[in-house]
Amino acid sequence: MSAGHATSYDLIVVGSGPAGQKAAVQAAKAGRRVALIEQLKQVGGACVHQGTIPSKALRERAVERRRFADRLKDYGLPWQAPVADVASLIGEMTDVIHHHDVYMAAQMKRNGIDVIHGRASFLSPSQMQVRFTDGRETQLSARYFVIATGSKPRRPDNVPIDHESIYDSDSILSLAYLPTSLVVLGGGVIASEYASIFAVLGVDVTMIDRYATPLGFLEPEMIEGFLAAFERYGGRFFGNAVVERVEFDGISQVHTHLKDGRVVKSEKLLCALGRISQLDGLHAERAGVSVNDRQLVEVNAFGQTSVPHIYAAGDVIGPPSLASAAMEQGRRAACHMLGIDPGRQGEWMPSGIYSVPEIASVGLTSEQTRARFGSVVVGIARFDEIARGHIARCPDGVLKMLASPDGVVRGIHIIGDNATDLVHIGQMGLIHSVNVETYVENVFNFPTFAECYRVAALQIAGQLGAARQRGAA
Amino acid sequence: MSDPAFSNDDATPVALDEARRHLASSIDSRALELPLLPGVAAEVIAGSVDDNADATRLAQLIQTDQALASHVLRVVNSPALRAAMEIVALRQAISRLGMNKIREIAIAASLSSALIEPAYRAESQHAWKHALCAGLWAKEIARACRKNTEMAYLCGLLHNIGTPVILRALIGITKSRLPQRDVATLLAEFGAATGELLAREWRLPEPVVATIKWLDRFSESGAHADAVAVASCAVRFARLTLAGELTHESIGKPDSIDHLNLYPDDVAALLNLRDSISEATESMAP
Repeated sequence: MSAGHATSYDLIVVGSGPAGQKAAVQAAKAGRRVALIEQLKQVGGACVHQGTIPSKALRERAVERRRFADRLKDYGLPWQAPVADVASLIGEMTDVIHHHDVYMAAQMKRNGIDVIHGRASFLSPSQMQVRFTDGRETQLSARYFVIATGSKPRRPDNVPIDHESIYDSDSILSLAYLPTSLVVLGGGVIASEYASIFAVLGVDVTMIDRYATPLGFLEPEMIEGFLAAFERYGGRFFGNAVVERVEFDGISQVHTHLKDGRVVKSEKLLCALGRISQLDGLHAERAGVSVNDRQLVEVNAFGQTSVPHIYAAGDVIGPPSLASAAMEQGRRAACHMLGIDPGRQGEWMPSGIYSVPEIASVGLTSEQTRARFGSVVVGIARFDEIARGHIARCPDGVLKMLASPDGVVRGIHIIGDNATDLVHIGQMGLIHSVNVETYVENVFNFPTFAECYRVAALQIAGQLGAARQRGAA
Repeated sequence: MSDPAFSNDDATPVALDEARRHLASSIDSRALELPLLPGVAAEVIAGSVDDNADATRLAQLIQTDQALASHVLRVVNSPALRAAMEIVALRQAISRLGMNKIREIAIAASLSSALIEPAYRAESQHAWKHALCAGLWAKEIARACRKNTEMAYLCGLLHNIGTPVILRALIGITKSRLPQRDVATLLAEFGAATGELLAREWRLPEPVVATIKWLDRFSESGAHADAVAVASCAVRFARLTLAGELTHESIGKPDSIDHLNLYPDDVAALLNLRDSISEATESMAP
């Protein structure tokens, strides 16, 4: 800690990821004295340095390469994929991360936040110890705390992760070269993103999961679209498969033994079987903070832990484990502790999966709509039905709109290019409880992917009109 | 000195100055005689950067060099690595220790044969042992930092490849053997530049070149700063390991540890590997 830092604060935030940053900034803007303790050298957390941003960079490069190869094929030109090292594929992200660092550091400085590089641990409900890389220690106290320490990859006992042949989601991007084959354990968001990205890069990828499909929480059309694309890129999905054990054969292959007797061999393996809260060394128990049996910090609706002046936000409290959600949780926690009205909690939070292709959704699923409103009316627009899909040469997308019988749109689910941006049109509609007619009656730019909203809405409007006619008859 | 033909007493300040001028001129004019990269090492290094070689190919590659094959078998049967039964075949060795380990042993062995300078045998052997130890530490430090372990090993192993080139050049420059302190002075002055020349000549991976060039100033190595910092930290660990002085206190607070964000707990975990790395270094040394 540099000279001049205080030892007593209004708020100490532990962790500088999306949740921690927003909590710190909110409190600082309210005139409070804030310290932000981060064990990494830069602010931003795993989101910036290990996962979200670097993996998205890899995805962009993978998609670019694929498109380039496809174009050359269109022109009848041969294309031999150069030997690509992962570092160069994500190399451009060094600049992005650097700029992000500079921006965030400036934001902290502008708001008078003391950013302290060290590892924090509670000594008591009001005191923390911070240890530095050079071995020094200091003690800080505060009136309020926010635990925003994020998450770390889960390490199952039967998967010996060595970061050399068997990786987790924090170390997979340290690969120096693309392996010829990769087994990805898991069927969740991280597993699906990396599996599809490496498949697009030409790696022989096998996804193995205990459930029947990957991304089982999505609408069926999204899952089908993901699997179709994954298989088109050469990937395989083994569903309903339980992993008995994983071992490196001592030569060159990782053997994944399944309970049904199958053995899948690959050069490398990525274990993406979920993430757990990162509480190592924090000694939350010394502050009396309760952790549940899933090792998540328990909080109430305001983000308060079992100790009212200690809040928690972000991955450390569990799902939805989205950077976007974490930011809002952090901000709202700071507002609550300071008695500031945080505004109405937005009900509709979009989610984005940066697989190839992208997937995004907001609002209810078909099942949830049916459960709440008795039935669901579905409109589906395929990217190959609109001009932009063909112009952009990405006709494989689907937009699925869900409405209740009264015509109010209840959910939007998209797979395809720009899905994670496109979904926000649907989010605005949900916030304002718009009817499908709104999408039909208003003009969209032509040609755009947004036209899918009108196409899907027209389908629903047609079904509702037909139903009304049948009712009248 | 191990070789009585060269006596420290023969050295004079004139010899040191002459050597300095000559080396500077040779480096500037790219006239330094650089050894060829042994074919086996080139292929094995390529294999660790672009993993296409399978176990059979690796075994075949090593078998093309009888001395190398013998050395690999000696190492895998050494006390540090020995299995329950004696290993008599390369394929068996690969099966026992894995391709990566055999690749590491093969790279080290094939390079050492090219880089040990007979006239300065003690110095070059020590430098090589130091390099081996640095390679092994680099791998573990990289693992702790979630960096690439294979590249880290190469960076640690090859960080001082300028040393044997300079030692060889000194034989031609000075009629007598220089005192150790003068050799150390010249290595400090010209080791990195010479190593960089050799690394570029051998077309070694860019992180290795950056390590050689920027070892003491890793923050200036741009995109390779992390790889160079791992090597820099490993070199410090290796020096202390070989001196039998590796402790938390002796490591001190180097910038590389701060750069890699290694906390005292992390360093303590690394220090638990001290004995195994010492044993592995001894077993792999020429």
